[in-house]
Amino acid sequence: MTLRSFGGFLFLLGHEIRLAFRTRHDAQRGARLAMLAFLGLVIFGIGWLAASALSKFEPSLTPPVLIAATAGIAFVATLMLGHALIAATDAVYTRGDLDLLLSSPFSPWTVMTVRALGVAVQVATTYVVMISGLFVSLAIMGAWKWLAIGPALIGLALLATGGGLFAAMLLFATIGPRATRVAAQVIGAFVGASIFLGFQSQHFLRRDERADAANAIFERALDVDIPADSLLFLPARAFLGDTQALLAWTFAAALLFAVAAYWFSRRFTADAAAILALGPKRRAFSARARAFRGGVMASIVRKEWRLISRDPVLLSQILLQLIYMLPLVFIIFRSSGDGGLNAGMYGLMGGAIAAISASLAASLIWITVSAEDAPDLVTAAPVDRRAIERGKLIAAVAPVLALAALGAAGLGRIDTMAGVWTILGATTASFSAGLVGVWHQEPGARKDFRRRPRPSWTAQLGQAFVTMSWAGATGLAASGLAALAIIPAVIALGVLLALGESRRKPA
Amino acid sequence: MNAPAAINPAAALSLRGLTKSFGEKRAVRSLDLDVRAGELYALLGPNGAGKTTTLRMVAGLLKADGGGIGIFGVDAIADPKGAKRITAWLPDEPMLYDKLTAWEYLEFVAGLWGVPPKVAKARAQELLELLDLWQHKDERCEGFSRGMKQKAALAGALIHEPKLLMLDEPLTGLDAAIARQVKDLLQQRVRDGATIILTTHILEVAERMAHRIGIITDGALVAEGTLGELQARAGAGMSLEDVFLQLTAGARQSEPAA
Repeated sequence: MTLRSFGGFLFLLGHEIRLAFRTRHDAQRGARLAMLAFLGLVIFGIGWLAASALSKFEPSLTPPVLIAATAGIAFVATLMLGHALIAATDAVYTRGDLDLLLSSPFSPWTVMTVRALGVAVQVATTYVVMISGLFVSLAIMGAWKWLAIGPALIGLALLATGGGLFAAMLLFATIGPRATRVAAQVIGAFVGASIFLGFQSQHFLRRDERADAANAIFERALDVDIPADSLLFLPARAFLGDTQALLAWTFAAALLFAVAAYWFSRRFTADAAAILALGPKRRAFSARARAFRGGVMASIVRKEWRLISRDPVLLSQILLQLIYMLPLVFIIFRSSGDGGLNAGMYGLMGGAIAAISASLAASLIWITVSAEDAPDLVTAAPVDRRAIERGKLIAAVAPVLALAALGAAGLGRIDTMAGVWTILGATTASFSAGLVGVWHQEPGARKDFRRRPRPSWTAQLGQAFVTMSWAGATGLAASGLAALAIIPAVIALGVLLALGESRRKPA
Repeated sequence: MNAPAAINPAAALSLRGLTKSFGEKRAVRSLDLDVRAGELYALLGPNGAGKTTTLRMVAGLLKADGGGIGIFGVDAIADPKGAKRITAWLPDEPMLYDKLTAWEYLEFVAGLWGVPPKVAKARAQELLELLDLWQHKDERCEGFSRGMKQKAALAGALIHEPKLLMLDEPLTGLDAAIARQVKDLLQQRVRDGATIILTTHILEVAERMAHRIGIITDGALVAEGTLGELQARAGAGMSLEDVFLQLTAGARQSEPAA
């Protein structure tokens, strides 16, 4: 049997890659092609601009350049590592096809090796596509030395995947299979958010501190006493077109990946039973049962919070949104210390807090309302549908308001009225976004949400519009223009009323 | 269409002229049915006969197009909340939350039905022990076998001690030991005064457990009575299977959609 034949190694690898890139296609074929063409144009356009700048320079292998390149590579490597860790845990724990594959005539070792390769292809492809515009543009411009970026990036992807596989194994061994899934999502979210935080880090400092920090970093880079041929600079030299370094780098990366893939396959082949048995969270048996707490509203809220807290994907999404709030919080607290904000900035802060709160509430209401695993149970209960909806709304909005209150309190320290308008705006925006979700989202099983992770278009558009309007109203009120805030507030109420009138009718 | 006759207030479940259509298809056709208090009633019929649709209307999950539903004298259409308070519905696919433990699930269901916490806790413990789930009370339902899920869902259905319990294919996919446990529990509930309606494709279950059997086909009740009455009606030496096949032959030939 050849490798390519039906049931061969490449057949299995093809299957892995197909699964990794298979996404839900809602759009028509024409629209999809148009979107791909647009994306291609953007990638090529940005790549052309970057290539135009790069091609003017001959890559130089001096320590300051190597340090800057190493920092950039480390940044991309961190992103790749996060991506690889999530892809590795997803491939092992969440795809749910291991029982089928391991019961097939393939050896478990083959199955797991192919799975590791699939992760590598998945990670590498994402970044290769991103730099494809740059690569093609450099080739067109004849900047041959810079073309080393391509193979060096593939090497980096292999290395990151190897690291991701090692990390997955380490987590599996130390905290167990279930917690590994949660940890991978959380780490992935942090790593993903690092781009945003990296770009926003300047806001953590005052203006005078920013210049000092930049100078300090630059001077430190010039002072570094590492020779250009040091092993530390191997990846940077590879990316900058040093042929020997490129060969050594890609070989080392491939070797490390092979070792990781081999170890991963061995490890998970032995632990296949543990992976397949991933299910019940077993606790030490206790004869004593925890007391029940009653009340319809409390029961619904408690159940929703439990389900939210046990959903690693959702938690990582919320964590990301919270991380995005960090720069804002820093600005507020630093400025409150300086007394350095003006009324316009209060408005921006207040509006942003209201918008982020509404966005968080929309994410949570999407889960509490739409991902109802037992809709018949809830419908069959002697409780008004509206009481159920109120419970779900409160479950989604309450944690958001607790967080928004922190931001509003910070703003309130500088300007009391700005703080008051902000918490009022955040509350109204969050409840409005939640209500739109309650009115317009279709219920479905929670387990299906990974496959169709989008709420209805009406809910999405409605939430976006209402959020923007309330954020505008909050911003205007917080900046001292309360009379003007009436205009977006009336618009928001009008949209809300229209959405309420067209709400989904129960079957 | 003539107005349906009044519901029977003495019956545990009284259906009068109950009708439901899905587009062109008439799933339930002016169904009249009385289930007596304290009996176990088996509703039989081929796939797509309208059994589940009927029970879903009684449980308040589907709106009837016409007719009346009375549950222990409570008009389920005029007062759905009052009716739901005394009923429980257990579908063939257990209504569970994968990420909740069995104990948390029962706490939630008890909260929905407004059972006082202390009473609910005692009942939950009793039910879980009775169904051999006590050791698993702190495990999430996602790891349960089909039988364990069905038992956890049954415990949820019983936690508010419903007067009328409706079960759709409760024994499908269960192994012999678990099926026996479930059957024993249901019979015990009937002895304690509860009324149970179940649909099943396992005729032996209806033969052994049911006080009365109704056969529904194409949305209408075509026969009803005790096992003996049905056998007598079909002819000497006929088994329930023979009776069932004879009465549903027409429906099976036309193969209605499920």
